[in-house]
Amino acid sequence: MERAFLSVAVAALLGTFAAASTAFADETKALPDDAKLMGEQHSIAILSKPHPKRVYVLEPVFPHIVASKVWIIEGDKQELVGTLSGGYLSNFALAPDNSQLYLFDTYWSKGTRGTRSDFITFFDGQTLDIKADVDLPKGRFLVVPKKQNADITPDGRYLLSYNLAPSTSVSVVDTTERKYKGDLEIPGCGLIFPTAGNRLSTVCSDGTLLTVKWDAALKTTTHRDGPFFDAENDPVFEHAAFDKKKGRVHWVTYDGNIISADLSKDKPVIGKPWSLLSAEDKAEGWRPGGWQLITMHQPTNRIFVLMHKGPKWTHKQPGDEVWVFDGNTGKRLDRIHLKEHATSLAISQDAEPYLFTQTEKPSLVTYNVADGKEVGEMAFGISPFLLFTAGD
Amino acid sequence: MVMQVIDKLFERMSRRTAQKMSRRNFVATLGAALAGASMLPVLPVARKAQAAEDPGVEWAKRVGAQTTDPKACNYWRYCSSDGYLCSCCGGGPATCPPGSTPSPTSWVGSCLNPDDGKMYLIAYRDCCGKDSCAQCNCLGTAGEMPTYRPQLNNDIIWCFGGSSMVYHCSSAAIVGQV
Amino acid sequence: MTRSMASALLAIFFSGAAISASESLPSADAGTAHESVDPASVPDVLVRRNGTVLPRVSGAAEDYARHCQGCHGHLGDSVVEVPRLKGRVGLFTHSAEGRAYIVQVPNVLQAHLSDARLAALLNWMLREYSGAELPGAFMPYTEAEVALARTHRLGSVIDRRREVIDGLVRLGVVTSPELFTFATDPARY
Ligand code: HEC
Repeated sequence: MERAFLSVAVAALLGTFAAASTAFADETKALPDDAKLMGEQHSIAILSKPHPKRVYVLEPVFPHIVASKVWIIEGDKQELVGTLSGGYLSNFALAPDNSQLYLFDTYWSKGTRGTRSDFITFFDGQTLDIKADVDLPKGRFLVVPKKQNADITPDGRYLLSYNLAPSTSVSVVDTTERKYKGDLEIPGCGLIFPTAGNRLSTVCSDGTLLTVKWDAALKTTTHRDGPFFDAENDPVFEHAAFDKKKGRVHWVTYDGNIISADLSKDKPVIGKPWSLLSAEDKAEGWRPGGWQLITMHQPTNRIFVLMHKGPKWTHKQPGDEVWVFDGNTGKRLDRIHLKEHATSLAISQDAEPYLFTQTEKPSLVTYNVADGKEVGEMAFGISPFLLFTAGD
Repeated sequence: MVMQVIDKLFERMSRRTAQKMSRRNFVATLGAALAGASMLPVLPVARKAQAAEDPGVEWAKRVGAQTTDPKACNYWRYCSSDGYLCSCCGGGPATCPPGSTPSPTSWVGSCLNPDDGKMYLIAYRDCCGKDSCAQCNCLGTAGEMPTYRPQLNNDIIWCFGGSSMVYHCSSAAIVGQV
Repeated sequence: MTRSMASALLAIFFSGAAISASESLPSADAGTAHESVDPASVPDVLVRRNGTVLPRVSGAAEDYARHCQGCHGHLGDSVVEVPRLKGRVGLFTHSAEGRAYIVQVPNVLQAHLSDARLAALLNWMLREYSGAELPGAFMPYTEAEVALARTHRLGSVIDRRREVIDGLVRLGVVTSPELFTFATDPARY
């Protein structure tokens, strides 16, 4: 009864303050006569429509690792507008139109023990109400979260969840039926790059690229390329600059080589590697590093990479600078000096992009890509880790 | 009573070593120490030619690896360890803290022992079954590879076969001398 | 009290209550004589204090330790999610498909080892963990056999494993596929 009443109130409020991201309001206006003595009543806020400068920050909360969370931040205003609470080492994905948010999750019936359950929670992108929990009967890969272990096909139809149990496969969940459809075996491979409603590519331990297409019954046809990098001496990082709608990807290797590929067809076209580093950069000891260390501005194919100075095997060291490259020509366009070194980065996919960087303090420092100037800094959480923006 | 005293002492020590030792701060501090000090032990020449190229060698030099204090990030076995040190959580590099269980699985890396110049294989196996210990966070990445090469990755929860897949802390048991 | 004294003291106090993760690879268990290392010669506070005897590993044993042991364990038997090698893997060599299959499982085929080293590793593994199950006239793997088997990749490991095991049942090598069960899913073999 009370709940129904509140939604009426909220709906009314929405009409009045459609543009407000947090809809606080004078609820007495909407009250019926018999409720006049109720005083201040709680409404429930609803997020404004998603926009390019909204950032979703996934935090594994390392010191309390069974309680992940997602912070939803208005990146242009440094304002927290909502959170999602999750379980153990959750992964996150956004529907292509941002209307739904997904947490790939793992819980035990008694917190850290008891019966394990794995499932994907569907959230409404604006109310953050839970719409469904869809079981993942094969479990999911438990690892410090990386974007490409859980993703959604570019048409929004299937959620894909990687498994290393330690046999390797991908669980497929239909978002329209809200049902687990089965697993695709990807022997000896990891990371999921979905590039069509029924196709993904995955990186294998010997440096080959396996492209898997499936039909309605999850029967697969596969194509293998490569080896396209040296998996023993110069492996590609797990995070890549990826535009799933165009099927375009730029992988970066530990030694700073970029391998670009067009994954938009059943047979990928893999380009020749090129280096981020000039002879001078190499002499100075620059190399890529961090966690989510690379991203791209999809409309302009610009690549952004976190860079630091260090020897080999410092691949997780945070970056002091972000280097910007033209993904078509390989030309370096800019160096953004970070005020605070960063482990992860993301970019807004609009015409005047902002660069979001996750620092170890921890804080989220935002820069304007146009001039490299800081837009603002915001501190929250204990160990925020992965950044997601609308449309990326 | 004795336990209480020990607990206090233990807590104090843990806190000291646990100060957010991100690899970066750690490296910076050590770098400064290296620049200023000549009293650090000089590493014996690595035994094998192969060992000289091993990622663990570079790490040992850079952080000034030592063989006496398993509660410190630069203890020689931690060249590729990632996470909270079991040594700071009531266990040790080959001992799970009370109430947690070791996984029979792990990944296997190799570190240089700075005092004999030999390489040893290390099993980075997690202690599992309770919430993360949250003491002494250390990150070593010598020879560490992405998860598509799982046997060389330190982000994976190596708790298969543990009492549950919940990560408690990171251990580093010696598998053998190579 | 110095810090290292304190930690030594603590370790002693705690060792009673804590569960040990096995540190050494007891050479006796493995059935072959690994050369062992005198604890006094290992400059490590714990190895010396506990007198832990470590094996010296080299050759195929080192390759196994670096590339396989993390999942399969030093005894060839670890967790339900990883198939047991011990007392079992030799059975695969009774059929041609089985011989190819154990080269073609992804973590073997894609191992960063040359064909020659992989052949040596497989021969070592088979004798070390499953000598009793090998056929009387076991022919060791050669570089050429491994190279050839490696040219073919498995689309589905699960399906291929079943076919191979069903073949072993038909050949009378084993009476039931149940011997090969692994994973938490009891139906999976
Ligand atoms: C990441 C964990 C992992 C590593 C590392 C690994 N394996 Fe395996 N192994 C498995 C799993 C899981 C299977 C079951 C098949 C599958 O799904 O890949 C398997 C299957 C096998 C089999 C077939 C046994 C059967 O009963 O089907 C053999 C033989 C084998 N592995 C040998 C090796 C060797 C030799 C190495 C090292 C070169 C190795 N494995 C490394 C996990 C691993």
